[in-house]
Amino acid sequence: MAESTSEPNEFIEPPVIYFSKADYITTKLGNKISRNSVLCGSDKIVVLGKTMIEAQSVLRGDLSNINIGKSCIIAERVVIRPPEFFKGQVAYLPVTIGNYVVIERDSVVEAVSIGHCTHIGKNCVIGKRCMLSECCRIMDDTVLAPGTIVPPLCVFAGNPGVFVAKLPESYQETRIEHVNTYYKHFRRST
Amino acid sequence: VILPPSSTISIDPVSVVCSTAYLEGSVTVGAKTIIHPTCTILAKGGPIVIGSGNILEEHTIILNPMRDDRPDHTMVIGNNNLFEVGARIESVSVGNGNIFEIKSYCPPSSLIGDGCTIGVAVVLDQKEALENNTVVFGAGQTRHQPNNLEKNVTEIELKRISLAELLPKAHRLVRSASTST
Repeated sequence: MAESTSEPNEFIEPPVIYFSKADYITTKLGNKISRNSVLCGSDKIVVLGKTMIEAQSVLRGDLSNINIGKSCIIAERVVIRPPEFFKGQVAYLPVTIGNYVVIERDSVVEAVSIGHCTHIGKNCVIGKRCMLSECCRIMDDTVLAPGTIVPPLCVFAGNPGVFVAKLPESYQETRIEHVNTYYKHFRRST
Repeated sequence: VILPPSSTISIDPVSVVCSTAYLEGSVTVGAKTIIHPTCTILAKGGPIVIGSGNILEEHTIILNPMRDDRPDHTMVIGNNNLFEVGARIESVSVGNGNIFEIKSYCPPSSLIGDGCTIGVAVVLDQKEALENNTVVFGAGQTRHQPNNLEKNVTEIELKRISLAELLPKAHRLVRSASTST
């Protein structure tokens, strides 16, 4: 049951999934955070409302600040870690993630910023200091080289990740609707 | 660290081992080694000896599997290696100054020399023995870089110094010099 939670398909309406109260914490702003997730340095992680963080995902707030927008989905075993840079010694840059961002399972994100409505597929590697703009789509199993800049409304795929297609401007609306239904369908069992 | 029965874990007092890491079996961790949270070290088919100055990041799995040809084989990991997020190492032995990038996989009968770099999502062949200073990237392309070892060691050393300052501020560490149950 937990496996199906991390596969939001953009063409099919997400199924109704029930979680037990023992597995998830629901905060005042509507965030649903798994108790099995690892949030290091939680005083440096800022999450706005209605964001879901699923089991075994790791957010490295101890290295630098992580700002996550509202209505994001961070699926299982996702690792979000601040990118490093050399300036005499190693330092870490803060990470900014916009609203309605979906990161599917097993992905590793070391980007500086991710724009609104971006969809990152399964098993992706977003390299160090990448910048993802608004409404882009990263296909499954993509490896983005360090420092890649992804323009808005673009599809990137492959190893190393390159441009493959453009997206229509209505992509934003479909993403917002998809994330909202996914959030609504992820209910607490009574 | 969860200690199952019959585990012998010895951790050097200078190393930084986060308490959410999982160590099982007979594991020796050397000085200045940094083990991030959610890292897994499983000594199933024999002991694992980790040298000094290594960095093991999240979701890394170091596994010494049951081997039919060499029972009770000791897996030795050298000094100054970097295992990035999601790397899985089951090699016979690992040398010094290697970088294992994100999601790379070294199968049970592989052998890693000194100063190698194994790229993102690279899966090595069975029984592959990497010579010193080999760089593996993409879909199995290899090349030799003569001074890869020095380059890797300086990079890892810089990273290790900053992590040794950062991690103890935010994490509960395993401080004991030697634990056994």
